[in-house]
Amino acid sequence: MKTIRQKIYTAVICAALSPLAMAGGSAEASAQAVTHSLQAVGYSIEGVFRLASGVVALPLMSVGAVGEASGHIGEALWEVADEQPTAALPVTDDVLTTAPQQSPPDAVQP
Amino acid sequence: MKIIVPLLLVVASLFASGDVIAGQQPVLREQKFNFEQIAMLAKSVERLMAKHRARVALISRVGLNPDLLPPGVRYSHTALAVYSKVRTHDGRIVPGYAIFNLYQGDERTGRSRLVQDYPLDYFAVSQELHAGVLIPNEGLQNALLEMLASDRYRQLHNPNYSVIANPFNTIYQNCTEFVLDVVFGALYETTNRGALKAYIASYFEPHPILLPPTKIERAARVMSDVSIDDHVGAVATTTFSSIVRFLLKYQIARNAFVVSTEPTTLYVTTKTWES
Repeated sequence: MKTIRQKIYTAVICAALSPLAMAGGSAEASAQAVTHSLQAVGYSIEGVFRLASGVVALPLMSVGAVGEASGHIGEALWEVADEQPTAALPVTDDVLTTAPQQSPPDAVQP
Repeated sequence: MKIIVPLLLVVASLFASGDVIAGQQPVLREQKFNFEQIAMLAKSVERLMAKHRARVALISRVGLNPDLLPPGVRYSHTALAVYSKVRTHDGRIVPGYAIFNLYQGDERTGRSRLVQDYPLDYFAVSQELHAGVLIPNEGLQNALLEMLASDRYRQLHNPNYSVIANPFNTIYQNCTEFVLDVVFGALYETTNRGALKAYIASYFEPHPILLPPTKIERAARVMSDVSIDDHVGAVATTTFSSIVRFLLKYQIARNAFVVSTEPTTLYVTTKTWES
């Protein structure tokens, strides 16, 4: 456990160095953990937004756009909304997350 | 190789948890917003990208206390958002955006990994409800999709991490430089790192880190994810803003935006990017 002296010392160092700590980017948190905590405090599912766990995501692209690459991704290809080239791409109303979902019966299991 | 000293571990753990003495020092990161606020920002970014029919976009977040960012650095993390079909836990297939990231992780070990998540996860650690969004032109989007659909995307990952990595060489890489490398790899259809870095040095202007050299050197001595041995002279690194400037300058981007959510009303505004 850290002593008070250690805390003060390291806090001073943190203050001195902190801009470097984040200059280019990502000392990135586990967003999953945050999502879990958001769920834990009761912001879950049936409000304005509905959470859904994404299990697998595959890029969508039109076959014509990818040429030879289409052979590598096979059924991952979808033709998307090409009939209406000016319309917005469809997006689910669900709020996707990597956090696993638990149904109420699952949640009470030990 | 760096020598990991006990002090570093203490510093790292403090940074990771934001456990600086309350009221005396600024906190690196805290959970500032609730689910609805973050979900509104995440969904707004998704819908903006969908409205512009973006199959791939570059997005950025303010994931760290903006008061602690170096001068001129507005965003702390950049990734690729890819229009995808997503299979959900209950077996549905839905369209949405998946985010392709390079993360170091809270352990701050100086090593990174590639992680795919979703906009809610991506913005969950936001310290401000702003997001930068850049939509590449059709040609670059298609080239990026080809890269993502192949092994070439992973081939460009260098796990040796530095928050101030020099984008002109291959010694270290951070999240934003990884996106830059993927963009150049897509543009020039190559994963040859030497060639990529030559192209980057020819066309890309990194962001100078305007901090006293002594401070940078001290940070490099005690923090495992800060290195300066890849720099000669002034330190400059890749930022979201510098990538946006490059892509707009060479007209490889269709447009760029800042999306903001007002924390109380959840009112969303979108502004065209201003450098």
